[in-house]
Amino acid sequence: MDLSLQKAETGLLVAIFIAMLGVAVFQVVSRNLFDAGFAVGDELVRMAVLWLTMVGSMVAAREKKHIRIDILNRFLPLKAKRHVNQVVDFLTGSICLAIAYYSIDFIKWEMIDQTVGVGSIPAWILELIIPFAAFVMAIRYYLHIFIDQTRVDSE
Amino acid sequence: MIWLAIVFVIVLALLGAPIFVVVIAATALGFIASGIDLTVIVIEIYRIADTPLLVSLPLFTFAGYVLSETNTSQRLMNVTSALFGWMPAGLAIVGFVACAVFTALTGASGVTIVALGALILPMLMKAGYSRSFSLGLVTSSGSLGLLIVPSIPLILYGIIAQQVQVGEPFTIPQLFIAGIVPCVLMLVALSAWTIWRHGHVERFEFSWERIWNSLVDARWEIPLPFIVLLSIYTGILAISEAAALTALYVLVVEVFVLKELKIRELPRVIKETMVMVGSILLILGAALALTNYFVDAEIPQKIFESINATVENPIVFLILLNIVLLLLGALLDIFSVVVIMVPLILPVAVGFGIHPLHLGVIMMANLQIGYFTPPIGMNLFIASYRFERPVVELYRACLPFMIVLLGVLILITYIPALSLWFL
Repeated sequence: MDLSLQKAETGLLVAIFIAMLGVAVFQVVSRNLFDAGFAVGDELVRMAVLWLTMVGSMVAAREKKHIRIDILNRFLPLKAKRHVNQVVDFLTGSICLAIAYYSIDFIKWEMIDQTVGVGSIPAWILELIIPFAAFVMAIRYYLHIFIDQTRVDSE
Repeated sequence: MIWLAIVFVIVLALLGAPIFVVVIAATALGFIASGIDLTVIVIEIYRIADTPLLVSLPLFTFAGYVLSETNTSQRLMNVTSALFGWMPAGLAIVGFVACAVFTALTGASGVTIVALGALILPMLMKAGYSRSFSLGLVTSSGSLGLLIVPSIPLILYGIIAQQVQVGEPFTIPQLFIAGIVPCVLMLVALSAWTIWRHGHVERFEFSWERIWNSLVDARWEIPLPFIVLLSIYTGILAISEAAALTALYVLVVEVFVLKELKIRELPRVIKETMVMVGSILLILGAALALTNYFVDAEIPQKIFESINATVENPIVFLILLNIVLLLLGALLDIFSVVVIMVPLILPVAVGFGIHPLHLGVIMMANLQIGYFTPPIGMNLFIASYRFERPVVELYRACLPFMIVLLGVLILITYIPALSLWFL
């Protein structure tokens, strides 16, 4: 299950990035050579940034690669480190869960307001990635509680 | 109660919680205290999809990642050593210049030491430089290019500063122009110091043939800095447009022309790039929410009033600012410092009559030195790991470089014209 999700994540990142690069280059060429940019193209590229951020963050949560300060942790004894990490993972997961909750609230308002996202696609459909990614991140940090990261690190 | 919340957030950060979580926790506590609905935070995170400038970030980061996976670093060394190797202490100067260019191209994420340092270190020692000097050079030069296009921390500074909307308005290209003289000054000071101390070390002979050969060898990469520099400094292209062309160019050249990166490696490179981009931009999104809270709660004004009550002189303020930024640069990674500190410091600095462009340059110069400030500057650990030397040896090795750069920092802090000459 997790393996197929991993493949899907990488596939999604590649697809979005290549599409974004393609559209961005097309926009540069059409704007500078033919003086005709497309508003939809700009919207698409900007939305791609959000999606890359959220999906990239999901992967970063899985690999524990989110940027963090690691000072106290470096000086803790191994056993204490493990417990501290568990507490931090729990808090991190809970905050991700809170983000998921409030982003659903945000999306409800966007549905009511009928905000337009890219072209004629309603914004709320494209914004679903925020609660989805936050929810996956929450699960992943909760799972980290049970994986002994200190052992993985020392190997 | 407020103090309890602040302590909680700081402990959370020190214990190693992801920075975006720390920033969101701080923002949430602030908004709860002022009775504002937390949905605001998500609205601010969504701003990631609403900031045209941000498009440049994944594109530039991707280009940098691809370059660090190929032999570009070797070719860059060959070109710079052919161009500068005949000068006294030429090889060391080669090291400074190559590191600065590579750091700027790859977004200052520590890859310079890993990719380029490993090439330069043996060359320096073989040429007769002491081990201490060589180690100091590669460690302290790993952050040299922070002020050159397309430095990602500088772009982030611009985005946040424009968000705060105080002081003189400015454009991102102006920010990069402001960085030129200070960066050149750093290179000149480091080179002058090296010539004075190590001028006797063997040099290469100047040879047109060698320059020509190295240029031919690097013919595909040579146009790259010019695409970026010319298009952005002349204003022909927007930053995000230059980023799109750079990413496409690097992709085509390294994968299809030089074939140094295989197509089946691309998914991995894209994934790694986006993990990095995702973690930076999520912090940025969280920081936009925090900025919103700061503005709402008028925190920068309060800081300004309390500082102004004891410090009236801008020069004294700048000294304090330098000390705080150096400390933070050593403690935190650069992206976090920029997104958290700019909304706090910028209004205060503007209150003391400091131009936002000048503040940006001062910040980058401080953070650059912070990268290798003992005891915990990040690059010290990367270098210690990469070159298998104890961190304490690197402290000593970096010290002279640090003193030289601190000298330059003082100059650019107290002579605003060095950054603002073009206005």
